[in-house]
Amino acid sequence: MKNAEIPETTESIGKIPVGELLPQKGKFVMIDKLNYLDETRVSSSLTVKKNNIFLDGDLFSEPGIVENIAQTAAARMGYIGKYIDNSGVRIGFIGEIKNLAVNRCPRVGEKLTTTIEIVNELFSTLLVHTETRVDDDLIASGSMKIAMTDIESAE
Amino acid sequence: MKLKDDFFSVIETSPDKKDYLVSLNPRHEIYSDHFPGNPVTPGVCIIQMIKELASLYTGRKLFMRHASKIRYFKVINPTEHERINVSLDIVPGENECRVAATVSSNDDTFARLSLDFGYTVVIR
Repeated sequence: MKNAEIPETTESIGKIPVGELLPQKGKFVMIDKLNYLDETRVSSSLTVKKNNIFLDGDLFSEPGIVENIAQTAAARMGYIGKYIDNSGVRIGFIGEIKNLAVNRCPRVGEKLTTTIEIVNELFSTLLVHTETRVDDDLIASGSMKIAMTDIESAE
Repeated sequence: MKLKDDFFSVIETSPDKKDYLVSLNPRHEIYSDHFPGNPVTPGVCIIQMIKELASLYTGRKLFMRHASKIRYFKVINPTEHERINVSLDIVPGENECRVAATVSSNDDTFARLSLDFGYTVVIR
């Protein structure tokens, strides 16, 4: 991926339906929109709704938080594939998670903002450091490795 | 989210409740979205499965407060691998338990997880 060609984006990126950037579909989509993207960072937001599949009662469970983080990174790769290097939106997987601390589970109605910093990008593997917050409250932080495949996402 | 008896079922449990033979349900609705035409067991659902099985062992509801290390080696296609083995190495403490888990089949190791869980509400 040619990082040098990634322009800094702000408002316009939030208007792209995230379904176009992700291989995950339907109820498994765990971000509402991207907020920001540049060469080294990407940020997404998600408001927890009552019908979210990751709810435990009215709490958004830890696996849901992890999926939100993974999809924030995936949406960045999808954006680059779709709009920058024309490689398309491809299926990716979590390869590794390290030292991920979860402080609490967000409640229905709360809005998560996940901010990812790219630590390393090598071939089809992205190593990121991530922080998820509700307002100023740190919900989760840690490191994750995402591996991209050659399999194109279904439309 | 509760996956047991829906997304997966426990077929066999070892007497010490540390080794499980689990069947996956390839018809679960999650697979139509993850991914359309290419069903793969989501890595986060493996985390949830470990949490639910560790909860059977401890008899308590658990909250994953820390994932020291999770590695996914190979994806699980639920139509190819309807049955998988989950083995747990659990160190229960007063306020938390540490779980080292391996998810495998006869030929493959799919994932290894080192997780710390806090106890929340006791399951009634």
